[in-house]
Formats: sequence, structure tokens, C-alpha cells
Amino acid sequence: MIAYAIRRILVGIVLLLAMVLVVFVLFFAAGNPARDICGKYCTPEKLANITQVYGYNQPISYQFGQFVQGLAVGRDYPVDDAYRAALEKSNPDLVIHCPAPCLGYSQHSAMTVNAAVVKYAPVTISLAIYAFIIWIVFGVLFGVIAAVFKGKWLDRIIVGVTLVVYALPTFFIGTFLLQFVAIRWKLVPYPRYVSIADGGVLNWIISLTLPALTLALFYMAAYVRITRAFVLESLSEDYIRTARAKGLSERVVLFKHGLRAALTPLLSMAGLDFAALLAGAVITEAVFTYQGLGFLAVISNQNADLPVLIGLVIVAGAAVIIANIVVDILYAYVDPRVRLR
Amino acid sequence: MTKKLLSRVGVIAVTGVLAAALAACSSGGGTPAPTSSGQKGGTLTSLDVSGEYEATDPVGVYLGVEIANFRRIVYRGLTALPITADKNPKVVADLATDTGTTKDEGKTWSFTLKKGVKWQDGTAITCADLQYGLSRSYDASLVAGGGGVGLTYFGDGSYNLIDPSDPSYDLATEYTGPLTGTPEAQAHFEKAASCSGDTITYHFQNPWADFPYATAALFSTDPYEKSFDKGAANLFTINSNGPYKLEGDTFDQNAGGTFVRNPAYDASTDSKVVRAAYPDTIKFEFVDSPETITERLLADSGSDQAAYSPLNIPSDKYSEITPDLSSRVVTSTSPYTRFLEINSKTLTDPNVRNALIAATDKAGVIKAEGGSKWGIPTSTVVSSAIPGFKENSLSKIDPNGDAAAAKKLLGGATPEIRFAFADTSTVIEQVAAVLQQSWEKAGFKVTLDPIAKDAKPGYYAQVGSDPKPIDVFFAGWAADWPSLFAVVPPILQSNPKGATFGVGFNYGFYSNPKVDGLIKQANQSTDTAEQQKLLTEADAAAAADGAYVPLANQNNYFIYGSKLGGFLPDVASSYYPDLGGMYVKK
Amino acid sequence: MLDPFTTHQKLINDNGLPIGAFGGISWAHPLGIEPGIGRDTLSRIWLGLALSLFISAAAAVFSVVVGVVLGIIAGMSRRWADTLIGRLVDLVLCFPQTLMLLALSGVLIGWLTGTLKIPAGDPAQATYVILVLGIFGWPSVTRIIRGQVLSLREREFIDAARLLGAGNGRLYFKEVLPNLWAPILVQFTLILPAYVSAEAALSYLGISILPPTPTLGNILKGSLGYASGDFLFFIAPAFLLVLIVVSFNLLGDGLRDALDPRSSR
Repeated sequence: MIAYAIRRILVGIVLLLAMVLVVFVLFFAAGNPARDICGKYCTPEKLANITQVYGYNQPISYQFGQFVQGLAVGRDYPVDDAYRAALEKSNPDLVIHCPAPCLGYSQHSAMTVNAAVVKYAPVTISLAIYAFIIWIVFGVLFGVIAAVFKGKWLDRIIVGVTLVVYALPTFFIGTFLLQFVAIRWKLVPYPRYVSIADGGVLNWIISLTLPALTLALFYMAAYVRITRAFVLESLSEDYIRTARAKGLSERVVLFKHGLRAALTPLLSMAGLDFAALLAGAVITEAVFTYQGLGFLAVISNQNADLPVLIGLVIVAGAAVIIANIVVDILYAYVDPRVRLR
Repeated sequence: MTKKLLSRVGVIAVTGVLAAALAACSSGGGTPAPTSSGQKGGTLTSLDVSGEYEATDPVGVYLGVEIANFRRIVYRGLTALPITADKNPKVVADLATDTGTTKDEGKTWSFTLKKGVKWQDGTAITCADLQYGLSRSYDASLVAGGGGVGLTYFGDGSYNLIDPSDPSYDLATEYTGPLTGTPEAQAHFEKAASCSGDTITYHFQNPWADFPYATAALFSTDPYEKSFDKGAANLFTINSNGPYKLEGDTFDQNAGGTFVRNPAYDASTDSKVVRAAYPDTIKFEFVDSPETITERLLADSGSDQAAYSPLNIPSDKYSEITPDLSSRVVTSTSPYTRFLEINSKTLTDPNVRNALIAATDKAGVIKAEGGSKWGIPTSTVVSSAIPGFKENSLSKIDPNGDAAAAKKLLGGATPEIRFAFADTSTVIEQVAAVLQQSWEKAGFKVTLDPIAKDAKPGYYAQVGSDPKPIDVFFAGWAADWPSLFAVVPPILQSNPKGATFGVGFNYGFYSNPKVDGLIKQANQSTDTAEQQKLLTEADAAAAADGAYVPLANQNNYFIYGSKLGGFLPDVASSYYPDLGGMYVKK
Repeated sequence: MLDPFTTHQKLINDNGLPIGAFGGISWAHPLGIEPGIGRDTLSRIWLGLALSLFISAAAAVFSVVVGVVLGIIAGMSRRWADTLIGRLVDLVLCFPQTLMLLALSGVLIGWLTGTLKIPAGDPAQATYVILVLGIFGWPSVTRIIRGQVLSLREREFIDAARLLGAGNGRLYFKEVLPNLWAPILVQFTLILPAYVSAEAALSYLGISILPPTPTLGNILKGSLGYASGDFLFFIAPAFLLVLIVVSFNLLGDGLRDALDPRSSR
């Protein structure tokens, strides 16, 4: 068991490094980060200065090494040693220390990428948790109801509504909820993020409702369909037939045997979806101007803020990899056969 | 600076605007007397779209709306423009004891600091702070986002600062600011902007008659506290010397910021005409779109009752502005003109340029933007809000476009032209479609070149580079202060250095010795009327030569909350709502 | 006649809205006209739909072809190829998809126009969307196909082909592939509507094909503000998008039920 866990973690680390490499090559080899930092009114002198000071004149392999080193032990900015040494003497405030795991430094927002991630993460985590609860509770509930009433009008309504919700783009649903449900009809307070520290748990929950709902609707629709299919599948298994044949009531068959088999794979799927959401709900956050990681991604893209984009991709990838490991190890714990694979 | 040549065009267009031609503030609301009617206290909210503010460091700020707001709440200048409905307001003293003195008709200007003016940490503002503030605008690395903006007026030839003891020393090129400038250049700079006690004296190469307007309208001559300077890391910090100060360390360009009263500020050093400072708290809140802002102001509930937005009502919301809202809807003229830059290096034949101008369907463009609430056709880059405004010979062309006249000018030729625009909104794309069709009627072969929001290089880099495969592109301009000097030279004077970025906003690289000559004459003249006449002539000469395609003189169309008083778009705030006189009704 | 580009500003009032009831409905413009400049709504939605489907279908073909080829190789090979492809799938699935679609647009479109010389504008934007949707979409196909192949490879006809001396290429694509058409078809039908939605989302972020060339996504984005000003213009593209996505999903579900007896209930 422990050997399996260690092997799984090692694979995860290799995967993460491979991902960092791919991201690095994609963004730095194809892009022109110095030009992006330089801004709208870029003079050749300014460009040359930035290229030098930020180390973009170095070979890509060296830059990658530096980046990985920064992840492992941290690094200082600006990266050019001579320039930084001079700055240390003349103006030490301008030297930025970025402790491990250093994801980079964003010239555009004048802060380390780590600081940016820490600043924007609370909204995303809050949203993800809230949306997760909504979509699991209602997705599974409606999915089970639909499966139980398979073929009846209730099933048809649930499946029909689900399909439509699934088809509507998130930005359309979000804009509608914001401009009509919140502003025009005043059915819920205008969504404005309040942290627990600022407004207490109740206000935090209220402030998140509309965007969390927007985000949850899409997943909810998907999970209704998946739950329905899983439950129907498990209800057609032989052991269920055996249980029925033994004369157990439909309720016992459903809850003791059918649901348990269906929900285990569903929850591991949900774990991975939740991890993926930690990268930020790009569109939901953009519509509601919620300052989460997805919102940060949108503005960083517009500002050509490559260091932040790279940092976000790595953070998101790490979340998925970690969730994978956790889910796998839990699974192996529950089901010993997995370890033998 | 209010440099809005290409800047912010995207937002303007999303916003679509409006209105009633040249009539100043019309319906409802406005026209407050800032001195008496306001009520103290309360929280005022200013709504905008997130990500628009590119800096709060004074040398990085160049958008008109930012200058307008920050001048009223945190950044005092040597001089300021008053809160007034007057279309030609007189500049008044702010940090300085008077509006500046000159003994040689504008070649040197002196200002003396008032006693008792302080930074938010309680330190007195000194002449060295003034010097230091100006010196930072020479450092290209500090002016991230709007890089080189501080140099535009002070360094592009016409308004060079010079060291009087060595007039041939090229300060604009040699000096790179206080952090990296050589001691020699620093010494020259300190003689060009010299301190004696509390008095600073600026020495110019050419006379600059309306310099006190520039000190009011730009942040370049504002003081900056040296001990506060952390270089580029200060991009979103604010060291206030005004009635409010920022809560927290940095302003968030995506969320906004909250300003509270600044205890170090002494109202007796200031004037109610410049800063009434009624609310206790001023909040800047940034959201996703102008549509959301308009919906919130329409709903008028909670804290939004004391809210406003410098953005115009977008045209897709016009139908929701019903007559019963007239007490909180304001239409006014705007200092913005919208036109198209012509790349004079690719369209070298004046006949082709004039054919393009003749064929242009200005009326269609305006309709696409939202109709007469948004703007009216014009023939020039000069806004009707500027003293000395005069239509030129292009006013004789049918606003719907004259395809026949254009065909005649082309003489059967069918030139291919490439039209670039920043594809940031549906409206811009629709305007492009209208232009394309009007030009094709005259025989042009038009290729549209929409440049995506996140394209690399971006829109500004593409239209600003030289050479470029673009023949025509969008532009807009609002003068930094109400003078032809803030319009004609930046757009039409040939670029003395052939720079591609940073210096000058003549992105079409238009170059005409006659226009340059008239601008030079105007620079050397000391008579306002004669200057106006010369600059108007320069514009007329450029227009007749096909330097640009004029489109529209924009209007503003604002809505604000029912508990907000003192709403007034005025000259001082580039016709954005002036934050200085607003108050929250009890 | 379909004409998605000609403007009709004579039909627009001074508020920028179409003159006449229901967004300016007439025989010439059965779904009314676009506010502002008066292009024909029906024509724009029609062309937009065609382009959206083209992009989505191309990306779906990309995903399915790559996914099937790698899935067969992984399933049939018992050694390193399976492991390698498995790790590659893991790697691609690590990437946050929406974030990558957004973040890569700047650099990749520059690379497409610069290095590959694809004309800037519509062709480059469309290529980008097809490429990234395809690249991030194949792993799920590979997993499903691999599973199917694992059960196929023990069947007698595969052993028979091997004994007759068939090479790997022949074995994979002449013997195995023809037995996979059912799951391939189902996958394609389910991926396609997902990509139609994804293209719309990318349009909202300003990454897909840009106006004036219409796609369902950019039309929808432009119509968002008109819910009260011009309801028909607001609802028509949304309705069509829902119709298309729901139809393909139902088709995919139906196909799966019909072709896979185990799941047909």
C-alpha cells in the first residue's frame, strides 16, 4: 500500500515536471515575453533593457533550469546578476525575493506570481466549494429521481431541462442571472464577493450564491445525466436482480445496493472535476467580476502577462495531479485489486 | 494625460454615447454651484469596467478619466481647472500660490509652493518634490503601460525643456530619469527645472503660452516624494496630497479601491472651487461591462443610489432610458472626436486619400454607434468644445458619403486598402462594416483587419509601427486642456525623430511642410487669437490634403443614482462627470 | 437570398434599433435585422451556424482521428507503447482546458501567422480553435477506444489474422478498426455539440473567429445586451444554439443506445 502510494507520488512529480516543460516551451519558445512586458509604447532601448534584465537573452534551456530552480528553492528578481547586484546597492527596495516555490514575477502587476495566486485564490476556492456542493447534491438527487422514474414524465422533464441547461453557454446564463435576477428583479442581492473575515459566514454564502449557481448549473446538468446512467446500469446488474428475487423491497434494493455501486465512481470523478475548478472558473468569474484565478487568467491574457499565465497553468495542473493521486490512493485503499495493476 | 488617441477607443465604442449636439448640459441634474448646495458625508460610488485603469502612479496615468478623478481626490497639481459649467474656464492656483508667472512671454515659467501643503504622511511638499516628479517622466521604465507619455509634451521638440546655460544639450534624449540618469544629465535637468527656495522655474526652448493649463491637465509637473519611490513597483500605489487617501496599499485595477479622508490634508490650503470634498468615502467599483453598470444605475437600489459612471450608456440600453428618468440622465457634448488615421506612407496619392474621405459614410457610422445620442458628423479632428473650433473644407461633403465624387477623384482606379481596427466590441465591427460598404461603393477594394484583444503584437503596436501593412485605422482624440495646441500638433505635426513609439501621436506619419510651418509659427506667436488662426489654418491645410478621415464629434450620455448630487461633466474633467463637486443626498 | 453582410441602415431608427415590430420582421428579413446597422439576422445566424459547425466538426475529427489511432495502438500493444500513450493521456488531462484555450491564444496565433504563414484574421483564429480543441479533446477518445480494443484483441479473428502473418499496420487498421465504428460514431456525435458550446465560450472571450464573419458564439455575444431592446434578436441565436446542441446530444445518446446493447434500456 505504501509502496503503491510512493510510486503514485513519484509518477505525479514526473508528470508535473513534464507539464512545466511543455508550458515553458509553448509560452517562451512561441511567444515574445520581453516585447509583451515592454508595453504599448516600446522603445528599442527599453526592449533591450528588459531582455537583459529579465534574462530573456539566455538560452531557453538555461531559463528553464532557472525556473525549476526557482520552484525548488526560490529566486530573486530582476534575474540579471550584475544588474541586481548594482540595484542592491543603489536601491535595495527594488530587488524582489521570491521564495520557493517561486512561480515567477509579473512586471505588469508588480508582484510575484505567488502573491497574485494567493490574492486571487480565496474567491476561486470559495466558489468551487459552493458550486461543488450544489452540483453534487442536486445533480445526484435529480439523477436518482430520473433513474427511479425512468420513462415517466418526471424523468422526461428532468432530462429535457438538463439538456437545455447543458446546451446554454455559461456566459449566457451568468449574464441573465446578473442583469435580470439580481439587478432588475432584485430576487437576490447584487453579487459582490464578501470574505468570511469581512462579513461572516452568512454574508459569504449569500454573496457567492449567484455565481456559484451559474457555475454549478453546467456541472449539475452533466451529473444528472451521469448519475442517471450509473444508477440505471447498476440496477441492471445481476446482483440487483438477485436482491429483487430475494424479495427485498424496491427501496432497499435501490439504496442499499444500487446507489452504493453507482456513487463510488461518481465521487472519484467529482473529485477530479473539483480539482480542475481550482484553476478558476474563467467565464463565471469574468461575468460577475469575481476576482478569482479565472478572472486573473482573463486579464493576464489581455495584458500579455505571461509569467502569471504560466504560474496559473502550473498551479492548476498541480491541483489536478494531486487530486488524481489522492483519488487513486483512496481507491486502492477501498479496493485492494487496484494495487496489483 | 488625456491622451486618448487610440486609447480607450474600445470602451468608448462599447459605450456608445450620445447626444444633443453642441448644447452643453441639457436635461436635469447638473449645474450645481459647488460652493453652497452640497451635503457633507456619505459614500459615493464610481462604477467603471475592470482592467481599464493602467496605473495610478502619476507618471503612468494618461487616461482622461483617471486624470480627472485623481486630480480631484488625491493628486493636487501646481494649478487646477475649477468645477464649472463654463466652457472656457480660467485656470486657478492649486499647490502654487498663483497660476505661474513668466517674464518672457512663456519661455520661462515660475511657480511658488503654498505653505502648509503636505503629503499624506505629514511631510511638507517641497520644490525638490516638484523637480523629482517631473524627472520621473523621463524614465521610460517607470511609465509602464502608457510608456513615454510624460515625454510627449516635454520632449518632442516643440516643448523641450532646456538648460538655459547650455541650450544645445538634448535633454530629451540624454536624460533617463532620476534612477538611471547620468550625473551630467541630472545636473542639466536640474538647471532646466530649477529650484530656488519654494519656487520652481521651468525653461523652455520655445515659448509655451498656455503652460499653466498643462500643469493643471497633466500629472508630469506634479510633485513626487522621493522617499516613496520604489520605481516600477509603485505602479498601483498612491501617495496622496489631496483630501482623500487610498485605503490599503495598492489600487486594484480590476476591482477598484476605496478612498477615505486624508487627515494630513488642510482644506484651508485648497479651494472649494477645485475640491468640494463632500463625501466621507469614495469607492471605485469595477465590473464586467457597461451594460451591467447601466442596469445597476437604472435599478437605483441600495448604495447604487449614490453611484455614477464615467462611461456612457451603451446603445443596446438606449431603449430602456425612459422619459421618467430624465432627472438623472444627462446629455452633454464631449471633447472626443472620432476619425480615421490614414497611413500617409502607403496612401501617398492625395487624390486617393480625398476619394476615401469623400466616400466615407459618416452618418452610417454614427447610426451604428447609436445615433444622434452618440455623436454628430464633423469635418475636423478638433472638438467643438475647444475654443477656436472651426469646420474646414471637408464639411461640404455629404455626411452619407459621396460615391460619385469619390469615383471621379479615383478616375477609374480601384485601389486596394487595408482597414485595421481593435476588435473589442460588436459596435466597432459594425462600424467597420459600414465603412467598408461605403468605400466599396466608390470602387475601393477593402480588406478588413480586425485585431483581436489579445493579438501579439497588439493593436497599438501594430498601428504604431512603421512601416505597416495598414492603410487606414481608427483613432480618437480628446484634448488634455481646452486649446488647439493640445490637438493639432500632436496629431498632425510631422514626427521630428521618426520615432515609432512614445513620441508624438501622429501614427499616420503624416508629414506636410506647410502644416509644420504653420504650427511652428503658432508656437512662436504670443497672441492667442493669432495662434488659433494659425492652428486652424494648419488643420484646414492638412484636411484639404487628405491627412485624416473625419467622422464624428462625440456626445456624452450619462445616468446616475437618485441620491447623487452635484453631477456635472465639465471641461476640467474632460467632460467626464466632475468628481470634485459631487455629494450624497441625505 | 442569404446576405449576411449588406447593411440596411434605412431600417434603423435613431436609437439604433430596427424600425417595426419584432426587430423589424419583414418578407425580406424573416428574423428581423441586427440593431445598429441592419444586417439580416437570419442570414447571419445561418452562416454563423455553418461556420460554428465546420469548426466544431473539424476539431471533433481531429480529436477522434488522433484518439482512435492512439487508442488502437495502446490497446493492441502490450508493452511500452501502451505505457507511453497512457502517460501522454495523463499529461494532457493535467492541463486545465479552458485556461489553456485562453492562455495559448496569444502565443499560438502569433506562431500560426508568423511561422506557418496562415493568414491573420479568420483563417488563423479558426485554425487555432480547431487545433486546441482537438489537442485537448483526444485523450477521452483514446481511453474509450483503448478499452474497446482490450476486449477485441482476445477474439479469435485477431489471432487468426496474426497466424496468417498480418503485420501490425494491417492488423490495427484493417482488422481492429472496422470493429470500432460504433463507438467512434458515438464519440463523434457527443464531442461535436460540446465543441459547439466551447466555440461559443471562446467567442465570448474574444478568441474565436471575429466579427464581421459571424459564428453562433460571436452573434450570441453581440445579442446579449438586447434582452429588453430587441427580444427577437436576443433570443434567436440562443434558441438555435440550444437546438443544435440538444439535437446532437440526443442523437449521440440514441446512437449509443442503438449500437451498444448493454446500455440500451
